[in-house]
Amino acid sequence: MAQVELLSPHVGRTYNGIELSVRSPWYRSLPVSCVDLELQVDGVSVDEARISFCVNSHSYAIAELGELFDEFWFVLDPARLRIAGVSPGSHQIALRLGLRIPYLYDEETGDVLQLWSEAAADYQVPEDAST
Amino acid sequence: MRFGVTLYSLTSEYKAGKYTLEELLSLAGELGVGPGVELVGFQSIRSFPAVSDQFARRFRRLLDAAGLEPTCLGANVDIGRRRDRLMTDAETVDYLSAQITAAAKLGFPVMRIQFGARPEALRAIAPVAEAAGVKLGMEIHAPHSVDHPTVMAVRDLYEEIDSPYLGFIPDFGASARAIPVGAIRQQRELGTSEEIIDLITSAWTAAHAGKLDPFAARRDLLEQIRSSGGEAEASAFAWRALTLWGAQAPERWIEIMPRIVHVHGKFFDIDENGDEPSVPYSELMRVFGEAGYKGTISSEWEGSAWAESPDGFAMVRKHQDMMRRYLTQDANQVKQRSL
Repeated sequence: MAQVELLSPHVGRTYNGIELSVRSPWYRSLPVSCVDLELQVDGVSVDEARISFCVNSHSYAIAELGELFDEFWFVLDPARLRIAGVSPGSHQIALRLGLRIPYLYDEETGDVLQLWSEAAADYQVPEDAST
Repeated sequence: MRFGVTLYSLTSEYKAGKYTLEELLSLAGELGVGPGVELVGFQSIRSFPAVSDQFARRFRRLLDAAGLEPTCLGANVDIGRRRDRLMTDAETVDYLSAQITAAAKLGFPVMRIQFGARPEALRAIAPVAEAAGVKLGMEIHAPHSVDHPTVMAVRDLYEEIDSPYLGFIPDFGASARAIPVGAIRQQRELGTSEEIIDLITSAWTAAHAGKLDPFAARRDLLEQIRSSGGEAEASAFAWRALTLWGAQAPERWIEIMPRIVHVHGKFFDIDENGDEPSVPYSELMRVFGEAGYKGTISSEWEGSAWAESPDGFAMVRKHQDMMRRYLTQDANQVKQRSL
């Protein structure tokens, strides 16, 4: 399924952490409500309150994503992930991205297909460059 | 019968940024893979289902310049877009109405819909489709087949309403003869054990021997994989195996032939003899040719995930050459018989 790399090799600084780009592995745009994600920095899970997911020039808290069923993550647009509390230096970031595919469901149980993709990469977070 | 391309076949190149929508349309014209063009709204159009007047004008100009004709707009019935519940029938009607407006604006005579649109939603949407002049085609995609209870409920409704604006779109992946070899090879490369691959291929064979409901077979298989310690990749493959590839006999499409408004000519590989090893195209072409099918078959390539260097246009050309060859052979045989 993955035809593009999930995680871009570039990392930027924000005022309180870092910012990464993520591509959707699916073939079409999906409602933002269909996105789930889990992050680890250097092997430690990141509390979702420290993460924001940015598409269409809006920044959303992870807890908000579920309500965004009228907003679409366009298939060609990288989403930006901001992670607060990550210091400069080298870090390993691991991402698990869950996509619910909203038209593929089991008619009997009502279960919607959820696909998980994983990626991990090492990043050198610069001291002063900010985005 | 006419041929065409769905831009879905070019997903890999499009997502990699090799071609834009505009470039795909001009290339489709140059390479002669039309005249029909189909696309998935939620793939090719950023603002979808909203379509601006300016976009619609530019789109129609691009098609004209490339000598192409719009055939089918791939809509989606995102019944599970909310996390708390499935869409109601009334919400489905609204969701589809917006996409019908887009189809009409872009000049598509047909719009693909999916089985999340249940009979009562279809009853309510029929007049909307008629007013817009857009025929709705319920895609019959594996694991469904023409006689699955879900499809039968739609067929019954169609009989009752009998509207030319409600029809079907067969996806030839529902008539596969095997799980594509490339898909199994890729799964081995991802590290899935032979034991689990055997489990999946046997479940596929059993499900398609006609004894089991394919949805029940899928649930059982996923449970078996979980209990044998299969990884997420193995479960995803199991899901795909019982979802992407069905084994309905080609001649059974005849049952719904009068209501077929478009066809997805799904294919996965073309071998060195120019044939599709996992989908019985010679039978499919004979069935559709003999039935006098007048609509379009869109070449829909779904093998890019395991192709070494995906070239969707080259694959589509080979696919269309194959379909043309079978049609010519069949026509020659008919001629010889009548001499």
